[in-house]
Amino acid sequence: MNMNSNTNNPNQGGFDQFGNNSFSIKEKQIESINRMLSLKASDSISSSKPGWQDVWKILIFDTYCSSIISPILTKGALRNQGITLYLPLHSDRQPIQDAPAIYFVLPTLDNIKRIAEDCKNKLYDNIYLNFASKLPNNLMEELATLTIQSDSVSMISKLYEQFLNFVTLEKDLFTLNFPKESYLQFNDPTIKDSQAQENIDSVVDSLFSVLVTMSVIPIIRCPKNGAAEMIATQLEKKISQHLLQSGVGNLFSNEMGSQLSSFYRPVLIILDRNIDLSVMLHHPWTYQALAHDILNMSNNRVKVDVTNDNVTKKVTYDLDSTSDYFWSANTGAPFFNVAGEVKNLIKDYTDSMEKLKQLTDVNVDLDSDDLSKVNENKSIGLGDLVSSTKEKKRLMDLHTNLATDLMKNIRDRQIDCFFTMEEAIITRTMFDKKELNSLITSPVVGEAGGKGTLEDKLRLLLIYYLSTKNIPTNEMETYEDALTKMGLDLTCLQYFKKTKAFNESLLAIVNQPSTSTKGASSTTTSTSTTASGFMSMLTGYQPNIETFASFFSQGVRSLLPKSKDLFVTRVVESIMDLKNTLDADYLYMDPKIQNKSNVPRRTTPFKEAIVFTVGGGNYVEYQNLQDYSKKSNKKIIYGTTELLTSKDFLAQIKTLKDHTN
Amino acid sequence: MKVYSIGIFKVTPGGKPVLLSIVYELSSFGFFQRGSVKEVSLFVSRETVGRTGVNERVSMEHTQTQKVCHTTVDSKGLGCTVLTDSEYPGRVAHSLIRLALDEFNKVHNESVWRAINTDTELPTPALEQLILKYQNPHEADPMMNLQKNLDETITIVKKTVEQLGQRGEKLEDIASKSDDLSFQSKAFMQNAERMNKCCGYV
Repeated sequence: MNMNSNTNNPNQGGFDQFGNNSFSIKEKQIESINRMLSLKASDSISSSKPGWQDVWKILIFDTYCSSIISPILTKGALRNQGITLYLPLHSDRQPIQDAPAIYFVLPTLDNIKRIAEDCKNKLYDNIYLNFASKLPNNLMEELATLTIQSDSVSMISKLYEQFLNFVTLEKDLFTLNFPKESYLQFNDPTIKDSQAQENIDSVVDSLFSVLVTMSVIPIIRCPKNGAAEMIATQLEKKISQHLLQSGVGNLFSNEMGSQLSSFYRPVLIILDRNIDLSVMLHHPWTYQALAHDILNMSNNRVKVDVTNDNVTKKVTYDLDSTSDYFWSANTGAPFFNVAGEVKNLIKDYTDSMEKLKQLTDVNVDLDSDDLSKVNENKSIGLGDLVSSTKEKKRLMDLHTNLATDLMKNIRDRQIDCFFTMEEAIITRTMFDKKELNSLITSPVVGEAGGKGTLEDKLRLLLIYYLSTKNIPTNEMETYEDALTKMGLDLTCLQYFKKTKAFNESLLAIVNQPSTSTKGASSTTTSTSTTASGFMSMLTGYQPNIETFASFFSQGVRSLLPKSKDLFVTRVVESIMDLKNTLDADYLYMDPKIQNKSNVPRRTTPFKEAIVFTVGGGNYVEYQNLQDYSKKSNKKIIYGTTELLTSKDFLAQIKTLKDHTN
Repeated sequence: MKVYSIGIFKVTPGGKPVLLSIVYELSSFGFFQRGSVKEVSLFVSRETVGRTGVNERVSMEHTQTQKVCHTTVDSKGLGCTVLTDSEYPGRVAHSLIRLALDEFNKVHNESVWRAINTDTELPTPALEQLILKYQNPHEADPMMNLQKNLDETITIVKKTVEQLGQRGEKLEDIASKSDDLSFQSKAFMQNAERMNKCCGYV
């Protein structure tokens, strides 16, 4: 069996050349892009060593494709593929002779027009067109028409449809960045049918691309009645039809054959954002999530306030898990730990500098006979030491600045207090009501006794509202009055009030009142098992609230990190471990089975999952899933339509409320 | 004024009504809410028709959501439900029911549907046309005003949701036993009833 992973082979069904299953979407997308970029080489007649003239290529991209490439391929990596120049599509470009141009763009009319113009102006000798997703027929015809008119069809050497319309940020994190304002788009009651269908189509298309790139055909599970079900059903159909039409040569096939891949079939869990909204408002406490929520990290890039000699300027940093070992080790670390780790990083650097000083020190006894030998010994490893020290300095600067900026914000806004309170509320542990009151009704940061910005207070209040079953009216009024007096617009709260009936349905199960179930001997067993299943899911492993409360007193709060699975994580666990709690409400689809009326169920728990939330997601949810996957030794990839900060999410809620009036 | 669904059921005394055919018109609901609305519509239709006596005409209103379920069961045990909003004239709804039953019987033989014991969809294109036509009760039934006088002898039993239950059943209990509703919908109905804010999003 040929296990070499050379560029001409399609994806190896998730296996690397050693037969190890690497469930990494980042790796797979990089592979696909590299294959796309090296196309010229496979064309050339000379096989083993392309002459240096053949290698140099130009890459032309649009904004979306630039956001695909930048988080996963560094400039160095592009250079390794022979790309010496990369330019945006919609910019003025000079003609360059003797160089092939590789275009990597979305199939849109504007892009097609610009490509045709480039051809007309004969900017490059050979053009290789790569569209990130399927090129619709009408656009293909448009391109043909325009290029024929200018008699430049011959410039286009090849046209490819790639399956790359998604953005990978980590080896287990991806986002679509589309549709914009996805929570609004998938929950707006006033949305036009055609627009809603368009949104569904594009999400299905991107998910299809993700699966093709990873070369997996998963089992699909989704809750009933919502956008998730519509997307899941349409996706399953698309895969099913494709398998039927393409047979053996389908996009998912691999060299290993299908026997092994069925062993590793993952589950794709598509969820509606609505099953857990409080996570979108939760103040984070881990390094990466903080960088996102506080400093608006986007596409792994963040702008940090750096103060030197009383001058503050903004510095942009790229955060790359592959090249930054500190980042990679600490993305999920609680912030207090990070501060400690940064100190270690600084110490590491100073040690390194010391060593360097010693080696380059010219304080040598000139009278010594062993002069040459001394110099020799000292210069061994010097080059490596210099470059690694340089790297250490770079990381040290980066993380010191980043952590300092985060620290400043955390301290000013007292984010740790908000985080702790929210966590207690969400995990239903005891918390101090007075503290809650204080956090919400105290003045804003900047004033005497100020705690948090208005937005921080709103987030806490909303989480409290969403997570608590019966809040006394006067209590809510106290909070609302206090916030309104401070100038806060409570539209978002109005929206959640309206939809609370829906969300409360989950809470109702936790606090089963004994009266309604006592006399109802007619309650079927299936209802009670699902009820208790939900209960255990929501409260972790303490199904009885009374016993739970008895273990904790007001003052004692565990400082040790304990399992704090968020709701989505519990759902994922339930599905992966094949617990039947959700069967009544979650569909089970298998695109490989053509006879839909008789779908055999999986009998062994899933070891791998792709979890996708429709309508937005964030790093808090991502981190929670990663913590669970490490704990349970499973592999979980998290994806969403958009990674949203609380601010973005609240803005969408506000618009949504305006639409529902 | 809207008609949301027309459903045909086989009703057997003491048994659960079997769905034979159903059409929906839910464009007035948000695109992503229609799935849940369908579920609740089917549930309400089935439970109401199952508790309707033979040759009885019932118009059951749920005051909080301002929706009405009109039902009838003919002597053969064929039941029909029409869901409308509360503005829609009840008499027109019942004449629509009569028409729907006629159309169904034209296309499907009694022996066919008698034998069916699980939910199916016996295609009845005429129902699709009827639901669209009857969105405007005045246009669809120009005799409406005339009928009003003639129909005074025909009584329509108006019920409320509370009366739906037999032997002291509450709506919550009915909902929890129903297979039509997903777990989430059941819990939602339980809770929403308690809070008197049912279907606020609808």
